[in-house]
Amino acid sequence: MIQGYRFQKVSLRISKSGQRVYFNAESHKDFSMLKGIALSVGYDGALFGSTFGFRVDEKKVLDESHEAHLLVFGNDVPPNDRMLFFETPIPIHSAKLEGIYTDSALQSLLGNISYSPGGGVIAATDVNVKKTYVSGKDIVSYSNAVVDNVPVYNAPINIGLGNSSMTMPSTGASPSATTPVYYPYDVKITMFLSR
Amino acid sequence: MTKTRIIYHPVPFIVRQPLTPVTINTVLPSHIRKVTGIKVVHSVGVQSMTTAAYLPVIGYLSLEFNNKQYHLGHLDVPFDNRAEASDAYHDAAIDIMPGSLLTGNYENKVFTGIEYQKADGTITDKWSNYIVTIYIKALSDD
Repeated sequence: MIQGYRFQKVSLRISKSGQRVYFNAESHKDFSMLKGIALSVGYDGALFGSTFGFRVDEKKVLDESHEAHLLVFGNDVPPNDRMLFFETPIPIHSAKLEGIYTDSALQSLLGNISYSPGGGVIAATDVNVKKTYVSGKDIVSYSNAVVDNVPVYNAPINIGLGNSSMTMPSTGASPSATTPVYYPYDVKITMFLSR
Repeated sequence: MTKTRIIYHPVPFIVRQPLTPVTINTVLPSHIRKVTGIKVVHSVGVQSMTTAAYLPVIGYLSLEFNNKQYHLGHLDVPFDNRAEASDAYHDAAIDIMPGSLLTGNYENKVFTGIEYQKADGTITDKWSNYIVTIYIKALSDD
């Protein structure tokens, strides 16, 4: 007997700083609604500044600049406390699910001097560095991933660098005691499906 | 897909000086019909200037929708680097005119001393640019 709910999972492996990893998958055919989404990431230090975009049937749900730390649960945060529940569930019928995870995407913007001296709104084209959801030299893609906790992609070391021009501000301030990030690390995407 | 669906639209902006207000002036996507929630979060940068994991207010944000016709009010922007940080949205119900402007101002309230910006206006190396993101939960007819 099929249960009323299912947590469909996709796993990504991030191999180096600034890497962008794309996946696509098909939602489970027996479930008709997508009610929520959550991420789990191996290191706290990897959360801040990394982004995750998400589309269903080629319709944007989360912009590519959506921060991963807003979707993440860890050891001390149960999934129900940090899952993004959609107030209006998204209909899915063997829908195409796509996501793109970018490591340290926002840090690369801190040193950008193209804005006015005081600062300003960051243009979408600056955040979405490359064309979204298009596979190519700068985006590692993996088609038709097998889901449910099967690693869909192990990114090779020298491919998929989306932010190769990463520049940090030249600050002499002592950074806070942030959790170091060790590469590679895994990102698990959990999608909450219902019938 | 239904005709109207939920989307999350981020509007990130960068703060480059401690004493200069940031002007926000951007066009919302024309497919956004109604804003149902708003959240403003610090994204990256402040952690380079403090060892604290939580600062209740790093700045104030004033936001206006629909070509300045609707003033939402002033929002406190916290810095929260903790895993258990709140991810709740402020409830809102704002009908959006297609292609209208989202405008406002952000005023930084931390690290404003002389050790971060000298009297001549130059920034010291203790200051770090930081990014704040306005998340808009909306109904879209895309």
